[in-house]
Amino acid sequence: MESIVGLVITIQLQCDVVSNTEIALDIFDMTLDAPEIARVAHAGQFLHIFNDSPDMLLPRPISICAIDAESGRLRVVFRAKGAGTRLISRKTRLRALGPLGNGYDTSSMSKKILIVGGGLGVPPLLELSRRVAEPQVFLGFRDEASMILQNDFTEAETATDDGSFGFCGNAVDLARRKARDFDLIVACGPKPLLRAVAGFADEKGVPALVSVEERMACGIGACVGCVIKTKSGYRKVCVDGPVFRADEVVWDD
Amino acid sequence: MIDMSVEIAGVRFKNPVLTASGTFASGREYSEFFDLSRLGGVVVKGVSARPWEGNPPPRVAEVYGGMLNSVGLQNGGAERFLRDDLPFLRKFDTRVVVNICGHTIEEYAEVTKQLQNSDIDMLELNISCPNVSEGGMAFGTDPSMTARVVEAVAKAADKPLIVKLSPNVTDITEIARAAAGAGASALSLINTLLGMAIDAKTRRPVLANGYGGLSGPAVKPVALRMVHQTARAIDLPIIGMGGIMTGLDAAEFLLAGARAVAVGTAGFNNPTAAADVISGLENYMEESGFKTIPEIKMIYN
Ligand SMILES: Cc1cc2nc3c(=O)[nH]c(=O)nc-3n(C[C@H](O)[C@H](O)[C@H](O)COP(=O)(O)OP(=O)(O)OC[C@H]3O[C@@H](n4cnc5c(N)ncnc54)[C@H](O)[C@@H]3O)c2cc1C
Ligand SMILES: Cc1cc2nc3c(=O)[nH]c(=O)nc-3n(C[C@H](O)[C@H](O)[C@H](O)COP(=O)(O)O)c2cc1C
Ligand code: FES
Repeated sequence: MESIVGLVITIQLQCDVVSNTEIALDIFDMTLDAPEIARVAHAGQFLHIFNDSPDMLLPRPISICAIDAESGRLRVVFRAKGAGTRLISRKTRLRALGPLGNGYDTSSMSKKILIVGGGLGVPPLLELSRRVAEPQVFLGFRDEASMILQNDFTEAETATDDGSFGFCGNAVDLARRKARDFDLIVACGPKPLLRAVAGFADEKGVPALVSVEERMACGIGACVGCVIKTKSGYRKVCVDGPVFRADEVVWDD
Repeated sequence: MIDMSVEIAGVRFKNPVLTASGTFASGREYSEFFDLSRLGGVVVKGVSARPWEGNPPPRVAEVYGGMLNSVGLQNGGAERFLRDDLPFLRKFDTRVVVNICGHTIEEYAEVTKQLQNSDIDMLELNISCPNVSEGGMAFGTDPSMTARVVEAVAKAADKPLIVKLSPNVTDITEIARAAAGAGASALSLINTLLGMAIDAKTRRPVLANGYGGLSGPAVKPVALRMVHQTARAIDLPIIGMGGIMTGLDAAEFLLAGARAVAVGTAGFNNPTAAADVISGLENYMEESGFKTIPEIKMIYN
């Protein structure tokens, strides 16, 4: 798959939290000082963040939202969902492993990209949008209060499920109406959205790349804990993904 | 000078720290984080005669003090292991132990034969697999079933055989004795404890498979007790494991009667865990004045 890069190098690091802002209820926008990781990270890759607390042994996978290789900083945007991400949201220093996963190979991507993001699936798409020329961006959120990052994109159209802001519906519905000519869709968000993207891409006869989630342990391909079902059998989200071709994924389960 | 080496069934290990099967694949992924030659040995992921698909996801769940897994021994089969994984692992100066699994005694014997004449140091027989011809009951929960599978594998094996015991039994020494009588050269314990996680909000099991194996620090007291019981009852070298996170944890297993240890789940929290356990154990030996591993013995009043 030419628009996906392979695992290059993985680093474990203690890093300082340079800034941390609650940008919506329970959603944190955090900047980490992680030069060794920032230098080698690609758009679409993720980090494992550890809690170093005996009741939470496993890492929390969090996507890289923006990369500044020069200043050595990484930005992550995440929701304090359960105990683990809540604890991370209060940290001033943390242990991270990364970059993990395949990510997007932006150098070999086509010129006319359609980006579709839903909710907490929006963060990993930001860095991508900066690395490709004039993408069309469509973002969807539950309601106005849970909107994030829409102003960080150079240009983005927004939908909300309840119509409290912008288009009423999801990001795929919006893209269906508004998208001009495109030859690749890149999407991240909840599974129903990704499935809809897969259908949309199929209709249009264009390929789609989707970022999927699964529970993880090692994050480096060793434990086979994080698989999803694909047409070529179970594949590991942490190394074969999180970016998969939509037509490779088996959606009906 | 501290000598950390140990001997198990005629095989010399430079130190008593191995990786636990299924947590370290065949080492490649972790070789990015430390030199595998530091390890006493690598116990590779369970290998079967033919590829196994494994269980549906979710396959892992975090629980207090550890995790549950229901990977279901997904693996590419012995042929692929010999072709793709073993040559890589052999580049390192460490012992290679191949963990084998099967659904029937015939499958166990078959994978053992496939591994004959290969460049490996030892075999580890995982008897926690369900026996499909006996209604899915795990081989390792019954002494006579244990004896039969160990005998079949020991007959086909051209390397010393470690039998890995399941903790999901009433009396582990009974199973250990059956394994010893049927040709085991060493024992390893414990495999994971069968457990379950339920999400109260969704009212569903967290793992797609429902049940899964518990590992990590939560199981250490059970593992120590079982190693201690087995060491007192059976005269075979023991590789102890279950929740080892530090060099001190490893020392506790040696004190309980193990000759070597394995590190598993800890590696998911810290990719250099196995190497850190080696340094930690060396520090413990230095501080406690131990010059060799066999000197590490418990004090009874
Ligand atoms: C590749 C990848 C990238 C992600 N990127 C982001 C991101 O940028 N922003 C964001 O807010 N969230 C992201 N997530 C989801 C995030 O990992 C979970 O919300 C988080 O792990 C929940 O942990 P918790 O302790 O708060 O919740 P709990 O529900 O208490 O967690 C319990 C256990 O389940 C695991 N878990 C729970 N939900 C998920 C999930 N959706 N995916 C994987 N494991 C889960 C946890 O890691 C933990 O081991 C990503 C997930 C993956 C797989
Ligand atoms: C994800 C995972 C996969 C495992 N796979 C195997 C396996 O293939 N064969 C086996 O004998 N034991 C397997 N085990 C059990 C471990 O080797 C070990 O016995 C157990 O996890 C206890 O050690 P720990 O607490 O250090 O992890 C697995 C454990 C985990 C967590
Ligand atoms: S998390 Fe271990 S293989 Fe993906």
